[in-house]
Amino acid sequence: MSAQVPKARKITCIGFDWRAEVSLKETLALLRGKTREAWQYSDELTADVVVYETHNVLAQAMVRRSAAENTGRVFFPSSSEDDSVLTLRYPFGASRLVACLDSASLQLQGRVPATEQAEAPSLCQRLDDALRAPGTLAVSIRAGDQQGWLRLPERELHWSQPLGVDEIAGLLSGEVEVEALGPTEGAALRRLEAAARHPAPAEGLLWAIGIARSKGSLLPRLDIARPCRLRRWPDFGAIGRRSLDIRCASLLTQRELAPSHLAMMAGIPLGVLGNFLNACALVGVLEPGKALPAAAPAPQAHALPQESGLGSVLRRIRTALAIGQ
Amino acid sequence: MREYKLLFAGPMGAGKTTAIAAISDAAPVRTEAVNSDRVQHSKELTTVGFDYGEIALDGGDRLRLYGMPGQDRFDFMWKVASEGALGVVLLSDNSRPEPLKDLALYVESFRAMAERGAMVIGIGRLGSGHTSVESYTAWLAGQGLSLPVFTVDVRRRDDVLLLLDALLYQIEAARLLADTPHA
Ligand SMILES: Nc1nc2c(ncn2[C@@H]2O[C@H](COP(=O)(O)OP(=O)(O)O)[C@@H](O)[C@H]2O)c(=O)[nH]1
Ligand SMILES: [Mg+2]
Repeated sequence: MSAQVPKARKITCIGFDWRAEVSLKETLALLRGKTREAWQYSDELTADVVVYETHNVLAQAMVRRSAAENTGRVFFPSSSEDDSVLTLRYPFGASRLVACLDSASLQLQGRVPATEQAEAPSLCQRLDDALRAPGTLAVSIRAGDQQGWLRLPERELHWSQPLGVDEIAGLLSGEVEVEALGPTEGAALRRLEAAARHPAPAEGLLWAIGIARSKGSLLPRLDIARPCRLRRWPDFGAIGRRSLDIRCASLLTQRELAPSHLAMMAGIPLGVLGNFLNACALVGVLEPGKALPAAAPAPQAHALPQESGLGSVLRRIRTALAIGQ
Repeated sequence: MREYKLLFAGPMGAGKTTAIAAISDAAPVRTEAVNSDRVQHSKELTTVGFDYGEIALDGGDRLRLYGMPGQDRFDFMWKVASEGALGVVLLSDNSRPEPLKDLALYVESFRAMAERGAMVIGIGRLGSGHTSVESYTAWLAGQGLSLPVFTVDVRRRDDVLLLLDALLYQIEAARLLADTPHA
């Protein structure tokens, strides 16, 4: 008879700065043994519990979809006008977090956890493989009754129906089938072309999949020691972005850097940076650098420099505008 | 008290006044400046208007926001204003006949800032023109520049903040990289 090891429940957050993510992970680690059930942080939007920034559009759509489909997943907003709603605001206080997690445990009782094998490759990886498979003419993307296709090399995306933010949120949190179609699949290609006629911007979807569906691991074709750079900026006016994405793009468009080096310079944990790099790779803006793989520089070599006069001005402008803090 | 400045440039109607209004502590004011450039202008003194806004910073310092007039005959104003500016936000109106020609004019006028990365480009009215975002980035790449280019509608404050967020990180990254030897 094998001992029943209780599996940890998963929690994720959406719409917060990366600092909130890190803080949530750290607070969870501190709370080990203090909650009814064991909890672990997950990058996946399919987690049992989602803490979200109230004004985040994607999160709002996920809440609506989850309610409509009766998934039983538990959502905590960062704020609410209704005093009876449990809210979780960054910085997350330990006792409030315990209260929320225990309340979630009660709500989740009896719910069948999403069947998800940890070993299966992430959606980000499957899509990246399909886009890069030799001879691929188009990639078919199927999610529920949405059928899409991404035509190469232009990377034009078309769907069988016009997609609103609700459908995109669904796509990002549910099952998605991906298939590369080559020259021998002419009939399938023609069927796709006939079925999917509603154009949609591909960059936004690819970016979101890189950020939200990477399972917290760097694409196998990327290497933390190999320098890389961005050949252009992603259009953050058209796609959802976090402040850390802008910060990393500034560095990687100005200089080729190994991810390990970038993490140190930007002061962002590699685990958080991985999703950014995956998203850049999937969108097609990340390219290998020309320098040879370097050993990661010693941490003290680039410990954050003493704040200069300019650094202080930039920080104070950010404070005045309440951005990227 | 110390003063810092940021510039907003772009053709007439591109959204400079709107962008400054979105972030300035008080409504932007239209100010007249004396043109004392005798070489370019026959009259010794002419006046030109520009938008002005400001943001109070901690410690009593001030960030001045200047919206520079679009006509190229005021080029001299840009040169004066560029001196000591932290950076520049270029706004493009994609519905104009030749947006890339506009871009070339402004990049040339603020070349030094472009080269140290202290420039961001916001493209407004993308769908009302035929120039793609890729054409902008390709034109910049041809100039050896890799600057942030975003489609925006500066009537949304969040889009103005995106431009500033990127501009501040650009300046910060350039400083950080200047202190970092190449791998
Ligand atoms: N569609 C659209 N209209 C804009 C945008 N930015 C500004 N406008 C409008 O264009 C007009 C001119 O803007 P203004 O800020 O005065 O431009 P300026 O001449 O550069 O100062 C105003 O009516 C704005 O509301 C934009 O990005 N998209
Ligand atoms: Mg104006």
